[in-house]
Amino acid sequence: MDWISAARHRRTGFVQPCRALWSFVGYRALLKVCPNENVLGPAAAAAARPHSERAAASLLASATGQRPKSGAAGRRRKGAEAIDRVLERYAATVGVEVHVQLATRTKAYCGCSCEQAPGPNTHICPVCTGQPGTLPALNQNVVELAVKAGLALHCRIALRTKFDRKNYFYADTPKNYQISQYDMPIAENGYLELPSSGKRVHIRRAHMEEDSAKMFHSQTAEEEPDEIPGQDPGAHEAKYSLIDHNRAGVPLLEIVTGPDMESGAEAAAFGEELQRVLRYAAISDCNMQDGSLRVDVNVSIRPRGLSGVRSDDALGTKVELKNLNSFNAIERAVDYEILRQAAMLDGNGTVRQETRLWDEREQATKVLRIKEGASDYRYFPEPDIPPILLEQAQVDAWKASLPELPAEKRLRYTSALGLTPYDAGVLTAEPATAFFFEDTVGHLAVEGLDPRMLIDRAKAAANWITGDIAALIKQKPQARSIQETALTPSVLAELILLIEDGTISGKIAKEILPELMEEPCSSVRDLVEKQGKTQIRSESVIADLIRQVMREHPENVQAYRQGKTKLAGFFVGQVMKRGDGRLDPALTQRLVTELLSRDDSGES
Amino acid sequence: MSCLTSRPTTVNSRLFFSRTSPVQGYVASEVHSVLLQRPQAQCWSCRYPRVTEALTGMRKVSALCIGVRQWQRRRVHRVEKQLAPSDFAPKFSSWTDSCGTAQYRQRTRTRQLPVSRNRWWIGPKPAAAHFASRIVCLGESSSSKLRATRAASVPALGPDPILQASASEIVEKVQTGTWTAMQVVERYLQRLQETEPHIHAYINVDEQFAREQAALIDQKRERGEALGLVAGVPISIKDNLLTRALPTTAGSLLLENYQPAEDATCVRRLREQGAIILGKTALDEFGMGSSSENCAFGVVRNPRDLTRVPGGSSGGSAASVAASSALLSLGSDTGGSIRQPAAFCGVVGLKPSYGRVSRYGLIAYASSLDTVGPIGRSVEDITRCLAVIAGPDPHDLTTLADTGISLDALPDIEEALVEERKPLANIRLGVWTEALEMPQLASEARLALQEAIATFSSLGASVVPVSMPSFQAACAAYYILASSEASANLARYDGVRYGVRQDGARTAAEMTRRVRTRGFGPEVKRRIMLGTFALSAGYVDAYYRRAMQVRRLVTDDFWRAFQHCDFLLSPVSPTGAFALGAKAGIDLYAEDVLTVPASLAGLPALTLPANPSARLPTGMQLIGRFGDDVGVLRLGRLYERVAGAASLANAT
Repeated sequence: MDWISAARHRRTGFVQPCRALWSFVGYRALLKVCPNENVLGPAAAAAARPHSERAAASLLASATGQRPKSGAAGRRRKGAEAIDRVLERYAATVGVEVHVQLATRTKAYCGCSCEQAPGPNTHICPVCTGQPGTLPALNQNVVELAVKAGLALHCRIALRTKFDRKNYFYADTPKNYQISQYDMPIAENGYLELPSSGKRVHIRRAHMEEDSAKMFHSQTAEEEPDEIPGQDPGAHEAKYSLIDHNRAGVPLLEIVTGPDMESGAEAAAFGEELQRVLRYAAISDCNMQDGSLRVDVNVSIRPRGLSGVRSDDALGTKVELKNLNSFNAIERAVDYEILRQAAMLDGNGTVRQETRLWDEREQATKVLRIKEGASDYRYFPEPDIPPILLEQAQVDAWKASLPELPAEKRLRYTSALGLTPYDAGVLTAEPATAFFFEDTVGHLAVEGLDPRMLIDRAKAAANWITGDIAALIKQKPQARSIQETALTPSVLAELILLIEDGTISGKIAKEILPELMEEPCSSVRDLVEKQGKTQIRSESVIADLIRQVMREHPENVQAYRQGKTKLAGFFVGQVMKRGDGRLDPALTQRLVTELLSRDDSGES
Repeated sequence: MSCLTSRPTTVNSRLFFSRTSPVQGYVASEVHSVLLQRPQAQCWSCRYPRVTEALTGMRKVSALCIGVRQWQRRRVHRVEKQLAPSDFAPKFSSWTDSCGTAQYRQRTRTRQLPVSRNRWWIGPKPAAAHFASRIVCLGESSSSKLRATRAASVPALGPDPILQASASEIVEKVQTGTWTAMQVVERYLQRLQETEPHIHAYINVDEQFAREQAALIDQKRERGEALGLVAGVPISIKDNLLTRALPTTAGSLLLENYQPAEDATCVRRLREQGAIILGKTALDEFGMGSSSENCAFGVVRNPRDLTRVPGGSSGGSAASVAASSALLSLGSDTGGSIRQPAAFCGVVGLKPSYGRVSRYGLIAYASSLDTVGPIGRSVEDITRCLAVIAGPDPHDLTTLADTGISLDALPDIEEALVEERKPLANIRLGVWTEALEMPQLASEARLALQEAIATFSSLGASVVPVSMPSFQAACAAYYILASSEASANLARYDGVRYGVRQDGARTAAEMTRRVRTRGFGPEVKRRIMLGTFALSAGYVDAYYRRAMQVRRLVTDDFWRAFQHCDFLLSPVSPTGAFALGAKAGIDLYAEDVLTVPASLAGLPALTLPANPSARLPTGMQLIGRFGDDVGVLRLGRLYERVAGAASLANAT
């Protein structure tokens, strides 16, 4: 039913390209939030369960979509010296405001899908387009995920919380108010520990809200605008704008930190660690490219040594940075901003309170708008959604259902498995890698194993994953994560055990690794045996080879016997070469020394 | 501040709107001037008094809130001294007259009779062309014709079995085949055509659609299927409830062409149970008004006296029932919008407990106060209607978990009347003293109410005088809260999706401003402004928060009152049906003083005529405890039986 005329306002208006598909076939029963009670019907619950698994799987897939990072703080990039010099004179204060898309199947207040839409305005209904007479019906999963996020960030969870209306006129907001939370956020007062420095960044609050629609502004003149008397037609930048409501009503969690960071690197590290935590807990897929993780940063600087007491008055004028589409961009934008502000203060200028956009092409920030004091959003309690009452038991259950988070994993890896902090960091960077590593260690940990032995094996697994496997993944653009290769944790574990018991050498293992990553393999032992790559440990075979070498190099035998015992290495190398790398190195070593000395008496 | 007045000069589409400015479209400059205390604030088109006047009124209203709060505090200390609450309560008349200058009245009076603009239907529209053929136009009333009919009354109704039948009789006769649903509908449509030129109760009538619905029911009966609880009952729907089959305008030009995608939950339930929708009834724009004069599509007249208003905002609904052009009607009540028109038109209306009936599909005015309820000729009829529409709805989180009513609610009253001489022996009836003692209340109205109290007393009820002193502040608080919520609820009508695009706008903000300036009526604009103002930084504590506190006080007052009684009885309106154009602005706001307390507390309240045989009956309001919708209906039914109110149709 075409309830909206697709009339286009020729000059300034918006076009509604809505096909207005009110498909109520898929209109799911919406869920009330009830404490301690699952109001999902049996059918809905059954539908929801596989979804959570599916969501987790897709999260993992997307989580591995980005290459592992060793942490922005770990690398020093060009221009870091300039920053260091400025930071000697000025203290920078950086706070972060993050919008995270919660990984629910449906929107926050209606039954529309949150997934990628086939076309504009396809995942819409009367509720999320703000039709008259419609009411929001809160999605229970939104509250659950928000609480879990709060718990993962060590926040205090509000057992009594409510929604508020935030009023502002903007065409991308269908109702012209946003259902958000104002004075009673669901989570408050937590922290996130940065992995590199162990610094705790204070989380002021996290609250639920809804996303707005997406707007497209025409840049080309499809139609010549009518002349407006006395006005310059060239002043129009866009002839019309289009609104896509697919994103309208998608649940978001806004996370606000304290002004605790002091550089771009720290802000980027915070973003990376937050992404990691939320991906582990399956709260969001946190994809910066898709906009499911949006980071805005506030930056201010002040001269060092001016105030011993750190109060808000002492802070400089803050500038908000937007359009930060990667962690790299965060680091660069913040550093650029620190340099820019320092240059202004050095030149006796003042910093204006404004919002700036990061321009990736020019590697610079540009003014978006100048702020004129605080905005008046005229918040008031949302009358259509009753206050939410959670029970402590429910929160505890959600807390118990949280998986091990990266910080806990890193601690366990370094303390129980003896890994270096660096290795622990790399392994936990992506949930997929960590899960692979843990599965591998699980296969290696047999009952009754000496703990020291386990540590050795875990280290070996870590080295394989962070070393050769990571390098091979990097070479192949089509397989971007360890999970997308044919290699399984059990295969890697078998490989490690084969090396350990001497069936194959490390060199052989490295040789067959690319094959194992290409094609699925049920048994590494069968594979190496079929290819004849097992280690040769027969003394007679090795001794024959040694004698052969000794015969070909009598002068070296002579020299050895005259005391040049260093030549044993030469013999070992020659023998190993002839053995195609399959000879047991230790055995070869022993036999070489033995034969060199025994044959002395035997043959002469 | 400068962002409010300066016109955007750069027309970068990315910067269309300033997120920081509290611009409510057209009201920007007006709010601005008010905030700056500029006395020369201009009205919208000189048709309406200065905004400042309204705001001055609201300031006094707010001062009153403060007064009551202080009084409440004092009362705690003085409760032992047994002081009469009226010693402290502000005088009712003190603020109603504050804005009512002679000039103000003069201007509004001329404004409020735009007979030439009187349209009662929506004509053929390009966007709804396929509906055009189905919409029956009963003839546009010319101004001369209207003047001629002004003094005349609605054509009298002779003995007519179909039009006088109750809902249960119609359901029974249609089920048994005595009448076909088509016969019932045809009779009602005929009556509608007779009465409509006089009262203009409907915005939109679709005869063909009504006949299609009737035919469906008759087919169902022929197939031997069971019919619904309201099968064959002709019903009218207030035009702020969404109907898939008929355009829904909320009485506003902005939604003139709006075609909903789905039925409101209550409408859907009625249709599922076989009700036949005749049309959509007129209302004050978005439900904002107490006289049904603020409709973009014409003024409704009271069927009992065509020179008087039918009350509002469900004026069309009450008028259609009173004129027998519908048997039942769905209305909505935010601050008295069902009860007051029902009282003015001498019919029965129920504002259910908040959450009893789903609001999904009700075009929101003040979400925390809005309720949907039935208007009918008898308590029996509206009980049947409520039983159909009540109940939890997954689309409305504020609905109550239990349905709370069934058709079994009433029959035992009949038995009680036969068996017991004093069926109300265990009932304590609280009589709201301040309301009965209001100076505005006409003496015959007071007499009628006192007789009604005597009737209850004779049935065995013990009568308890109850003081509800917070009620005057309640009215002020109501207008602040309702306007605040309305300012957000009506923000979606920004011209992007609704309203007629206005030429010449260079920015989207300007487009919104133009669309809203043209689309909204003056009363709606005023309330949006008041609400925007009451929520603005620096004022929210003095207005919105204080009003919330008053709301709490009112709820507490009711709670205390219900410690001493089971039901409260009061008049519905201080004055009764007044002449068309007689009241506007703050005067009209004062009409709601007796109905808003129950709205603020979310309580069920039933309106029924205390003296049904009078030409302009006096409305009586029965308020029950939260959730006790059945209780007030049973009490009302008992009174109706005893007072012989069932023969309302004859009186018309």
